[in-house]
Amino acid sequence: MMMQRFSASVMVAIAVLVSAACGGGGTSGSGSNVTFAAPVSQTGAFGQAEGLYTLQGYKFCVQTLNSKGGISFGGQSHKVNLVTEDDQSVAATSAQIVDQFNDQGDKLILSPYGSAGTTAVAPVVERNNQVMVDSNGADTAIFSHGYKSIFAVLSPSSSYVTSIIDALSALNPAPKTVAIIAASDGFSQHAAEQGVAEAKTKGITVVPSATAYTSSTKVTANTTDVSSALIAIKGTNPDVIIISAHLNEAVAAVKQSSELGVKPKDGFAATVAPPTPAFISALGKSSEGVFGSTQWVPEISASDSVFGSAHEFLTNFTNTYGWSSEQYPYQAADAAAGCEALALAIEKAGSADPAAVRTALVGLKADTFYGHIEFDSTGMNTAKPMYVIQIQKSAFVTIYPSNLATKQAIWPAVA
Amino acid sequence: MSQFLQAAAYGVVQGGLLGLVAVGFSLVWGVMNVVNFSHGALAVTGAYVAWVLNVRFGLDPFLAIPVVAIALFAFGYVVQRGLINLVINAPIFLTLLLTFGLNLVILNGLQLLFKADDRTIDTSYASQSFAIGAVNVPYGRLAACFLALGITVALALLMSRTRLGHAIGATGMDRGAARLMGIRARHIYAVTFGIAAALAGVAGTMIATVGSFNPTTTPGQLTLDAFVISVLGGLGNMYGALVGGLVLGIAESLGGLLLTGTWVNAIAMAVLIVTLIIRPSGLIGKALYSGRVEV
Repeated sequence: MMMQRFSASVMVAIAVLVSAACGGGGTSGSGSNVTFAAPVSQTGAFGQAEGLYTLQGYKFCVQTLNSKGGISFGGQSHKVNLVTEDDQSVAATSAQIVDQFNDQGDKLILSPYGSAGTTAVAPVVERNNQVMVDSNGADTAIFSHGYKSIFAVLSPSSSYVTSIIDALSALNPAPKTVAIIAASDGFSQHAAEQGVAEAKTKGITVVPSATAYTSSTKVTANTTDVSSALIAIKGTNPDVIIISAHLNEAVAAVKQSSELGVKPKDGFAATVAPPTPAFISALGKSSEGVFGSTQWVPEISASDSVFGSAHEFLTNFTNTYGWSSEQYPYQAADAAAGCEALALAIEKAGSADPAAVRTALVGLKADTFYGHIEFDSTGMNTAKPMYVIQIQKSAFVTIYPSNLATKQAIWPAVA
Repeated sequence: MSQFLQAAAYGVVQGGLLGLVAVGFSLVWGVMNVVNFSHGALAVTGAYVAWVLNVRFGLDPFLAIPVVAIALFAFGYVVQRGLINLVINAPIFLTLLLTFGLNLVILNGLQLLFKADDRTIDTSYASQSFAIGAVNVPYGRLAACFLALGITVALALLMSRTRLGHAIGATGMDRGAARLMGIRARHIYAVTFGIAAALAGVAGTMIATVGSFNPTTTPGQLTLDAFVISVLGGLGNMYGALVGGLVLGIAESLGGLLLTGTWVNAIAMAVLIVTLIIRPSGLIGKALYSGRVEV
């Protein structure tokens, strides 16, 4: 009898211990891990720069979340596990990887780098009843399909060239003419289209014509030869050449313009590329004075309980990955914000169930180090503004909007 | 009209640079019947050697060319002698696979050493240009074009006027007969591959001077360019790569102007297909190389 009681006590003790270890029924213990899955370019066209920055942003977010105990829901703290696979900068591969994630039971997705990859992944996420926070795919076309499970923390593609036009028109003297070179991908074309419309409202003439970005100044996405567009611009003598494209095209445009004697009177501006360390390392001194639109700058007055203030995010991130605080990749901030939004939605939902997380994302209103995050009915974070930097002495200097400017813009930007 | 002239001028100098990229590839394919998939990787290796010499020692890329050429020649000689030669009698697909593997090893090694960042050799002159009327001619690409011309002429003289050139030509036409004449085919093949690697290195130095490079996207593009130009120009003639490069450069530049920049690759392929329909051996290639005797 005594022996039976002892055995029963041992069994109860074991059951309690196992229960505690598994988190069942506890109120402050550790719960099971939550998995965030992301197809991220580690090789190919984006692997050397934008994909790398995105991956570092995701890793930094997960590391920071876990260092603070993970995500709290159901009375427990849950550590976050990040699963990534290289999509080789191929959109179709991104989609395949997300399908594989679904097969493995990974329902919480963080987007790949770029609009092309995100466009390919979005219908797969919808079909599989996964949920995705998009950190680096800005093409508004992604949000025109009525998707219910795609949420973007970043400003849409329509803001990229328009913010540059707004910044340029605030300078003295404002440029009278601009030429716009646009890559053939949807994001770059849409950004250029909106930029042309904004230029018209600001009284700036687009040369050689308002539709040139769809024909003579349109170049293949990710090309390293934009000579055809520059030759088309030659003779029109624009005050500013704006490149609506990614890293390769922007680097080629600045380099080849002096080869072909295409010298804008006031300078160059570009989307995406200038606020990245790779742009400066590829162009050296030629990158000086180039303007670039960016999703995030550390000067914004924003903070949260995970990363602290925008400046603290910059310091901690650049220290972790060895970047200079004067050459920080904004794509990493996008990625960390996307990851944080997913974590906040899980906390709000009180569950990692994708349907509950989706519902929480619909109603999410969060002030973070990245700024305010709130999604409209299509899933876009349209309230967030974009910013403009200029490269000065190999540092990213915020010049627009003026209340965040740390220095005056060098203008004209070319000698 | 000025835009047409500008596009034509740019096409010529760009074509010269493309010819420089392809000349070594064409030599190895013509002589050894090896489609060298590591050609772009060798070019990028040369670009890194020149970049290191420039960044560490301030050496101008044009002055770095002899160092790059010697380093790449030695590397190419050893690789051919110790690796490719092991399968030189195997079907072309095996050598193709081997050079593809070599390409991956070189590129991953470069990525470990230098990371995957875009690099450029910054000079005060390479991106500048001089104007003839409304037409700007870039110094860097013009120099590369002249370099391609000089190297092609030198290579043609080497092949036609020297014992080494005759030995390379003889080995390329009939390896068995060449051996019977006392030619050490293994050594000749290694020298040929070494020369091709050196030329790839020189081309890489020029690419780094007038543009930018990285170990992920640049090598594949260079190998593809070299392949298209070699087929277009034709094998068995030292001037084939230069002619092929010039034709492709001009076609792409004018095509980009008349249509849009997004049509450039389609134009290149159209030129290649039309040429092969009219002249299957390429623009100035020799058909005799297709009837080579492999022993």
